[in-house]
Amino acid sequence: MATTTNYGWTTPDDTALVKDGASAIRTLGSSVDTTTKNLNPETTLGDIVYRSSSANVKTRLGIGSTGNVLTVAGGVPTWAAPAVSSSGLVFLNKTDFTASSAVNINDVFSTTYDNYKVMIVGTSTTANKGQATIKMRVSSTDTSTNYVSQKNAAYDANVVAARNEKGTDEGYIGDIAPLDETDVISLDVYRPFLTKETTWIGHSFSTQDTFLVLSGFSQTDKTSFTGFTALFTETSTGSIYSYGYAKA
Amino acid sequence: MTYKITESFVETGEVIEREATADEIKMFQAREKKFADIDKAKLAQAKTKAAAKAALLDRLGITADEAKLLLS
Repeated sequence: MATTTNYGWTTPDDTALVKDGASAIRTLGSSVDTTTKNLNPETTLGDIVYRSSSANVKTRLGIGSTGNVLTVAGGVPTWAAPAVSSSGLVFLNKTDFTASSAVNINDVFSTTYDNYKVMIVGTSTTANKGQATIKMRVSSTDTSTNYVSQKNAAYDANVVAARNEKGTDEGYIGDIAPLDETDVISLDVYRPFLTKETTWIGHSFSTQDTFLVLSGFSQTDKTSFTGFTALFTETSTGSIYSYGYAKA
Repeated sequence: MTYKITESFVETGEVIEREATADEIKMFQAREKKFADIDKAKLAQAKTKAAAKAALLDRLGITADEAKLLLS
């Protein structure tokens, strides 16, 4: 019996009898159907396929979870969570906000990192310069006690220094420029998830006052904080970026 | 004035924008008042200090620049 070159489907010989035609076509159709299915085993939206160990048979790989990446395990493709970088600064989150009085960043601190970098890029949506402060969070609830803040603002040869200028129920970090200007507050956060005092150190340049602002505060509760809230005295628009410092 | 809160959940990537609750509005307004009082007190303190400095310079019979020179 003759067969096709690539998939070996059986076809009638030149000398086969016409009366056997229907059976031959049925056999050929069945072979084509089986091969087609073997080459297209996808069943669900997002499925992909790869060659199996058998010729002309592909293996279905169902879609992975959100955020997964395609990698290789045991010589075949598989979906997996992206590997956490073992060194450097690791991007964790960007949150955009519009005309907000407060921005809550939940579940950003964990055992994966001890120290973090946070950048707040913002513009006040009013004609007034705003001031930004931070409260630490546990399980989506702000902590409103035990902050010790220090602000040093330098202009020309002058330095204005103040301790606990905004009280002790939040930590001052810097100013937010009004309207057409944008201020960037760059912050390092030390040990928020460890049961030790959490320290924030910030620096920024107040575009309205042309002040260099160095700020810092300590939250003395020795709690495993999971997030933070940025509060603005003027409603503000911008973005908050969070990064983790890899431990090794 | 409306108070809007943006809530971001890093683990799920979910971001919610919502109006502040009555308690949160109270907190924001109390905070605004506290900050305004602090700024007012700072301004009053600065004015008092400037007046005292001017009075002292006057008593010494020197200008502010001369005082700076003296202390440099």
